[in-house]
Amino acid sequence: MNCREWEARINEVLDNRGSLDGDPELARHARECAICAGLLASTRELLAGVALLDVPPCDPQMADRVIRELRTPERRVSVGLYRVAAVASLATAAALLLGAMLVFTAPEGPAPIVEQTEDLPQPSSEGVAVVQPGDFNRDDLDRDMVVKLWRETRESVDGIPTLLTGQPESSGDAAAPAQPDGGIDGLAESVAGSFGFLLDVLADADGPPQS
Amino acid sequence: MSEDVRELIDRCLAGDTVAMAELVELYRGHVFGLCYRMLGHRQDAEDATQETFLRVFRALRTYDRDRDFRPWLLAIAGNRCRSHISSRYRRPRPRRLTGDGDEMVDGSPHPAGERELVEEVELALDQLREEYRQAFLLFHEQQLSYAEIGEALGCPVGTVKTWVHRARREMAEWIRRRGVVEEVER
Ligand SMILES: [Zn+2]
Repeated sequence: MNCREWEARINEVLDNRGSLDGDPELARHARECAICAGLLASTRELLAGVALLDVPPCDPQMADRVIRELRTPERRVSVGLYRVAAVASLATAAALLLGAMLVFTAPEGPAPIVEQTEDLPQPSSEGVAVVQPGDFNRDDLDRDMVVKLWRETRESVDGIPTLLTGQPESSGDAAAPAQPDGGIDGLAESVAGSFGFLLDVLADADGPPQS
Repeated sequence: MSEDVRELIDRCLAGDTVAMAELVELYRGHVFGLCYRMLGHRQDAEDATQETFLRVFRALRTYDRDRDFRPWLLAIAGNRCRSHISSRYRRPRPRRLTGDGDEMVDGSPHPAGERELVEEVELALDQLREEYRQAFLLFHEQQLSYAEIGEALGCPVGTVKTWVHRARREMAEWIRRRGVVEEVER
């Protein structure tokens, strides 16, 4: 028995609430190994000391306290109030979440453009001319045009490459590609969608808008 | 679970307050011991004990009769204690578990040698991580099973065993370093 096995044995004995004196194997190794002998002696002392620890007595009136409390109706009312408050809080949180989703979710439209461009095998040599004319849904033409114009303007001003141009991110964070629906792109699409909606309304009222 | 306890529970479910009082009397020592060792404060432990029994009586209909009653009860007590611990903020636990302080057990009648040993054990307990200390005391002092401690502390039995083993080892090392065992024959 080596020291490691001996320690495993001592744990096994104590886990089963056995006596340290009742195991001849423990004693044999302890006679040969000063380190384990010291551990055995200090463990004995430790357990002797633990047996001397006291816990204060529990309130002898505990049963009365519990039954008195059980008979008190206010606590139940307050528990009921807590539940109502919890449900109200959840409902409010859900309403806020829904509102936030309505505000921040981009209207449908540009997503097909992104899917198209993600499949591009090469960085586009045509700059932002990724969105092919054939990809336009005629009904969304004006809104998509706005998206395209917005992106062209942004890139020409900032020089920021995006997924739409097919160029890699300059940040070098390959594990975190730009999210087409998030961040500035999502905002752009959201704004463009709203703008497109306005154009649609104008088109209904005044005929096709001039580009 | 013994037939006596089963019958007691049936009477509690029927609204018999005498049976409720008997159930509290039967288990308040276990529950209070657990709460005291988890919370370290007598008053907190009594509050948690009372809350535990209130929860038990309100949830008694949901109790699975095929399970032992005591682990279920101690799991509720452990939950109450964990709620207490997370809600009270940064109140230090008492440094001494016995002795003459406000929160402690007073007037321990131990002779000088024993008192010294108890003090060393308390110091050793103070060196432990909180979860080691709780697991160790629940196992060695409160004599709970590993399964019961796991339920009370909300962690797997294997984890509890590891904590108890480490606590034992660290405390034994502490006691050896402090020279407490020099008087003990080798
Ligand atoms: Zn050894």
